[in-house]
Amino acid sequence: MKLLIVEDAPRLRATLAQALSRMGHAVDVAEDGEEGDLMGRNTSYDAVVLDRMLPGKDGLEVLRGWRRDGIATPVLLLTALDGVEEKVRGLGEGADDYLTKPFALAELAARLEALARRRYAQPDPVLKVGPLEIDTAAKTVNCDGKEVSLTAREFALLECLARRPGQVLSRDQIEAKLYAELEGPLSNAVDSAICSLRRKISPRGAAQLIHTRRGLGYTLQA
Amino acid sequence: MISIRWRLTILLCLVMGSLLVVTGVGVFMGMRHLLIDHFDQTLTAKATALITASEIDGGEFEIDLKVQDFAGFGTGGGDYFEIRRMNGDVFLRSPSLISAGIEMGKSGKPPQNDEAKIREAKLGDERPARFYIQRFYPKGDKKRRHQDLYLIVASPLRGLQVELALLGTVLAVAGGLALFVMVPLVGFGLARGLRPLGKLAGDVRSIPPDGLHQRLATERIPEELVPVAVSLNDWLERLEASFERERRFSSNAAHELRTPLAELKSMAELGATWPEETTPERCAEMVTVANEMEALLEKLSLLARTEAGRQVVGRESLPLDAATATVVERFEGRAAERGLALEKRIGSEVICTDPMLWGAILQNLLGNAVSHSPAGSTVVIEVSPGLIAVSNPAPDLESGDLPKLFERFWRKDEARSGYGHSGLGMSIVRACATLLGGECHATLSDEKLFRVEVVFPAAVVQ
Repeated sequence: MKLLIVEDAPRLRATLAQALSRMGHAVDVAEDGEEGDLMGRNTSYDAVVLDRMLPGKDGLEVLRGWRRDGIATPVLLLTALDGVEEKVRGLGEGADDYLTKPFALAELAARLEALARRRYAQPDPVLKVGPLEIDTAAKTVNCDGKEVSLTAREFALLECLARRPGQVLSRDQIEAKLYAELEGPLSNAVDSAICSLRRKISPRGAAQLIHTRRGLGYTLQA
Repeated sequence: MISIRWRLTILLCLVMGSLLVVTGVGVFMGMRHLLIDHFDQTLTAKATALITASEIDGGEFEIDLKVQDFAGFGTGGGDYFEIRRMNGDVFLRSPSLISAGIEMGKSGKPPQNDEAKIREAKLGDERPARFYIQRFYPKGDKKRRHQDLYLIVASPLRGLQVELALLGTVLAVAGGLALFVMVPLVGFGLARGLRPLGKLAGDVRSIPPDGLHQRLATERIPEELVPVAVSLNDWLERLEASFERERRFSSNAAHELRTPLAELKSMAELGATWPEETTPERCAEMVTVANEMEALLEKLSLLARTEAGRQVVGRESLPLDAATATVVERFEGRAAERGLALEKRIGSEVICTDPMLWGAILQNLLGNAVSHSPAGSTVVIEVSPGLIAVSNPAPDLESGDLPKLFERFWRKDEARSGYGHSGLGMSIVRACATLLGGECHATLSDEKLFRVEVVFPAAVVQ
């Protein structure tokens, strides 16, 4: 997933970004309301972690602006304010979920994934494409009942394709989904990741599941 | 616990009951006096009739029998008379006295003069009666043989006593009934009268702990209760403000602790999930977060102790220059980083104060100045026996911010990312100053020079 973290506490911001990156997500960060607002408007994220109280522009203000302008990116409000009225207010302003500090990283990740699933209208965390069974919650992949071992990046790539089965995704689109803004992937990073993934999910002799559409991009189809 | 209604009911019934009894006794006594007076007038009239009807006819004393019968002295009559000579000898007795076979009694002593006298005494048969005694001179006593006569007329009091007893009974029964009816009537009347008070109590009771914004209506209550409702509304307003302050404080305290706790937890989880992430740098960061939390807790604890008056003040000799130098030294590094000049005007006296509290004041004032003063500006520190003052330029501060300065967790910039700046410093300064007997003031000049000074009376530091 491509995620945006808008959090003013630098240590928390850095730790969250690192943890979510390790989980295979592409993570961008913003340190205040204005920057977060701009990034949320310019890039299509699968989900945004938005701190409630931010310097400059308050989290709720950012959220209100997005919703007013039709930006439907799922937003998880992250805050130290634990009052019921605060939660109600946050959700009322258009937040999709609410998490109070301190929280467990695993819970944050699970909630973000649930938000993404809802966004792509896939309530079942297990995606099925032909012989492939991709469990987005457990981060496991089975091919014909056999477990396939993937790196976090490969899993993210497969999940990205599997969420849109049959849809052609360009290199740029895949890059945008897989890499954070500051990571600056090498020009052939997507191609080599596709190549590596193909080898693992379609061993020699088996039918290809990832197809190349010349000049257009890649698609996952059984 | 006895209610106002019952208290007033008992009091009113006691007062009204006493008034009823006094009135009843008064009415009885008045009526008794009137009846006796009337009784005596009748007695006098009868005696006068007898005297008028007495004459000496042919040398013999006689009283017209018709008058005797008419006045009730005839045979079987209820009143009696006796005529005696001044030496006590009985001269004539009424037929009623003879027929009843009783003596007049011992009350017939000869009068001292010609004035008529009425007194109460007993007849010979022990019946109480009113006695009329008067010396008289019968008409036609030419030979003056009957000049030493006096008349005793007696009328038994039984009839009068029956009337008085009846009156007493009527008054007692009426009074008792009035008292009996009065208790519930007074209670009912008071209940109606006190209903607005009950309603006010109900209104106060119905305000829930989270509904302190509610106010009591003052339009439709009796004017006596308006001051009570207004006072209660004022009290609610103060309570609401106090609760709001406490709520903000708790919320802010939780917020200040939750963010570093979230950092600590995330860093620990990151290291636990991916051991290669447990780098020395991350561990050092975790220690820093823990230290910051510890510092915040110490500040909260100091604030709580000082505000509750539980902080023990241990006064001892403190050389101003050395104590100031120790505090200033801690901030010199940070001041140099920000290009700040520290101008010191330090006295060399030795004062008697609590070094910890005194140091906390200077440390917080200086910490704020060094953090918030624009880079390259000058921070002036003035320390003398009766003063600790720190001034620095504060271009972002508004005069409207001054009252909020001492509010716990207040910060000009709502951004809460300032590590080590919890917004408690000024609250601690004021609490410590108060504990040491000093006063704290903050001013902002037109040139945006911000100055906080803590002034101690001379007696406090000597």
